[in-house]
Amino acid sequence: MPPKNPDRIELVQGTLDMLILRTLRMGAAHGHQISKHLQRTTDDVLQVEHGSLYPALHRLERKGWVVAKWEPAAKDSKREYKFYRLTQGGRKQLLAEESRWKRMAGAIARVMWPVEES
Amino acid sequence: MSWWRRKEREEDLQRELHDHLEIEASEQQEEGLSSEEARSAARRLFGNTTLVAEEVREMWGMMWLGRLWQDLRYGGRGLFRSPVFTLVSVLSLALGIGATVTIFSVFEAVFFDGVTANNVERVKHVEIGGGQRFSFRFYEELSTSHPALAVLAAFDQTSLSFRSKNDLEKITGDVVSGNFFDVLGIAPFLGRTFTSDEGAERRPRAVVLSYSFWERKFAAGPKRSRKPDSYGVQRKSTHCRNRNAAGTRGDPYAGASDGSGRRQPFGRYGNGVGPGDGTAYYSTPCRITIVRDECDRSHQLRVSRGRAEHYWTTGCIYSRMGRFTR
Repeated sequence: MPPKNPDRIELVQGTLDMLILRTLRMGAAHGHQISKHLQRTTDDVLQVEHGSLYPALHRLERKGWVVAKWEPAAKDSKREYKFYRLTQGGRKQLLAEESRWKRMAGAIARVMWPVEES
Repeated sequence: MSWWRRKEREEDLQRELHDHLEIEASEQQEEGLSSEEARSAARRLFGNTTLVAEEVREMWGMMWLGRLWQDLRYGGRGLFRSPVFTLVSVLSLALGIGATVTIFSVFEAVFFDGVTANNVERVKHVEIGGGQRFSFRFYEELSTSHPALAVLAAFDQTSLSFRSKNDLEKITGDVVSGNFFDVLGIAPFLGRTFTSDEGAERRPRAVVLSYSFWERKFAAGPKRSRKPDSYGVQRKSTHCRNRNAAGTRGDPYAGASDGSGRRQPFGRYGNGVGPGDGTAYYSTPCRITIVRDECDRSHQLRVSRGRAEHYWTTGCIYSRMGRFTR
């Protein structure tokens, strides 16, 4: 079992949906894949609790931003998993959230690291 | 959402969480843990599956249903555990509710039943000198001279004779001013009520019958028309829940005749009533009764009575109030 990373940071509230949508933009994935992707991409820094991930997935499905379907993991596999896929509405939502997040991050950055005027 | 759909969704969720644990366990196994160790590691990493499932259900908005069901089951078990307490509680509640409903029904029947006059809150009961008699002329003078009383209508209870074929019976009725029904805002079911000039001198006499009187004596017969006035039936009140309650008081309503203040015409009016026999109009008695009951006696306008020349009717006047303030 891998040791717990003491540098793990809890997700900023409201960003999990955006991260899930961004992950699904690369293709359909089931819950475990999404969780692992977020963990690996952030070098294990972002801590996505399963207690938040699954409710978030069902919430996105309810809003129509993702659709879920039981599908085999591989072509020759009989085992089915619940795969989530981005919808057109989800793509629009992702664009909107990305833009909002960029504005917010930029604003925070300007406060935190102001450009020295020469 | 239907029950089977919810069940399907719940099974879906359980399967999804179970899959997650299985994948995690197999990954842990690939890292060298034994099967048992891998499963417990996966559970540890995942956290509390029941809690996760509950959070998802909460998001579905169905948790309240589950909690309600749990509460009901808990309550039911408690009630079955102590049947004597349950029995006493149920009986007390039944008696309490029954008594309350009965009291309310009586109260409603006495105070609220069938209040159907238009703008009933504006209809006031005006008593002259504490219910003393006054003359018709006095009523006429009052209705034209007192600006606070927008419209006035007067009535008095009286005895009438009713003749049908070979029968002659004594009935109770009200003698009313010509505008009585207009003031109370009571529309006829058939035909018309009195015209405003029907109380004037030497006008053809008219009678308005109550709905129940019409049913009783004319068997709700066809409407007919004959001179001197048209024959009609007033609308049966849908609000009238207790028509019999009004049966004890006067049924026919006779239009006020001349201004001389003499009561004598009314026996003749009653005699003239019959199917196809002219002057009959119908009104729902309980409406009148209720309107009378509606009068707020605490707001009686006391007018010092002048010298009455002809005592024609007792002192009950209804008025649609104009500028009169409480």
